Amino acid sequence: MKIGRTLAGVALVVLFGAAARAATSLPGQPEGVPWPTAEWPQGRPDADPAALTRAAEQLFSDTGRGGLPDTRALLAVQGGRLVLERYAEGFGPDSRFRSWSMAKSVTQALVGILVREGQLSLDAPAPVPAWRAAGDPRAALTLRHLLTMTSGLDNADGDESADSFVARLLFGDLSADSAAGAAQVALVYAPGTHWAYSTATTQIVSGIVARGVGGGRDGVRGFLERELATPLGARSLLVEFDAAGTPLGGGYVFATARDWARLGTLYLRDGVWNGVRILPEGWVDFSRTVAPASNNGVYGAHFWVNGDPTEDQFRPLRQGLEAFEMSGNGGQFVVIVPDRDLVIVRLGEMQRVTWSRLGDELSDLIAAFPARAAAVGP
Amino acid sequence: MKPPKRAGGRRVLLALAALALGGASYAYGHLRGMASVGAGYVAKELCSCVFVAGRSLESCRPDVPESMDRVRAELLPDGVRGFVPALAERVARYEPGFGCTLH
Repeated sequence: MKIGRTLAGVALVVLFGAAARAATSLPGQPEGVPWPTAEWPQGRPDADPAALTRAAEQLFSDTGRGGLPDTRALLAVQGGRLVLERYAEGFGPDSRFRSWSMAKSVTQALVGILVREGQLSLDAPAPVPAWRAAGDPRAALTLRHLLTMTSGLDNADGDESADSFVARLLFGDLSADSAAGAAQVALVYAPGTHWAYSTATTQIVSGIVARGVGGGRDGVRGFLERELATPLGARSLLVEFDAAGTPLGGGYVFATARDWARLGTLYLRDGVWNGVRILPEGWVDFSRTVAPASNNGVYGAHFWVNGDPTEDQFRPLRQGLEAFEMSGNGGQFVVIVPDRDLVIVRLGEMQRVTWSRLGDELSDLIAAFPARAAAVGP
Repeated sequence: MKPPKRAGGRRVLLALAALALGGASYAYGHLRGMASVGAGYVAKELCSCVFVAGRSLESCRPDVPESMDRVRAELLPDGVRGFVPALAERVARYEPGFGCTLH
């Protein structure tokens, strides 16, 4: 058993790279708690009630220009049970919420499934037709580079203006074929050395996924439903497409708050759902390990990590909370907190609230839940 | 981390000012580009908000950044048209199972 685990560990290091530091082990589903495939098991929070109420109130206190709270949905899943579920007026368990950049993490899950199936490899040259010409330096780029945002391509999101690369890609002159537009940029740093957040990079990955599943919108939709949404019972999960048929995996996935919580739970449970492995072994650790690049301290593999940000980076959650998260524009969050066996979902807007304030409020909410006893791994 | 939240508005205003001051075709071309991104943003956001999220156009509109208030929206039977009169127009169309696609 021990030898087996050691060998598995060695294999994981070879496959996904060594973790920079020992992270808390990922908690399994507690005995007797049913998986939330059909229904979410409900429960009462094991938390400081006053702190929990205060944090939830805070989160719904900022009202935007439409008269609605910026927070539209707030869920907490503790020990596999839904222990907090609250919506702004007009929203409920059946409301679908847009992901913005949390879509990147869903795209990452699809890549993981294709890696598990042996159709894609993290360290092989990324299959992008536009980079296959002889002598093209981009031919060296791998999915690992792309997923960790360390490709070195000149396609960073840029500022929030209308002529930023991301605005052109999703809404402007490059929007008709986002994967092609995203790939037609130069390499400006050696791959794996420089971190730059890029929706375009996820559109390149989205193109790889689309081709990997046989191409076409039907192929992508079928794969998403068959391999991810159906096993999890995340029936509301929907990805949108550009006019060329590439999924908008960089920014446009929709799901109910409960289904976002299911996706978070998949990662909390190490990629295994009710005994069935969805994501390959070690994939979640790859997701939550800060990628090696001189200017990165908070980004894993299409997931954010609550680490130590470099000068140009931002960490929304309070220092010291061990968490990794899907995050998107407007303050979308699926926060996964292994040492508290906790998933927090916050969906909505950011018309009034700021990133730092929202981060403080979410940190307060998380801190209301106790750490699991003896949960720290080697 | 943050896709464009304020794409359009301020730049459009700046470009409008440049035009009013007699700026030449460059300013006009730039303005059209900005207006087109704004029209695309409004069409796509509102189409998805109405047809995928199931909300009313009126409830969705305040969720589009203020900087894009100049971009108008028209609800179509199967999508949303975003436009800045005489400058730009984009349409996002909804198909069940695939959400909204910008055309």
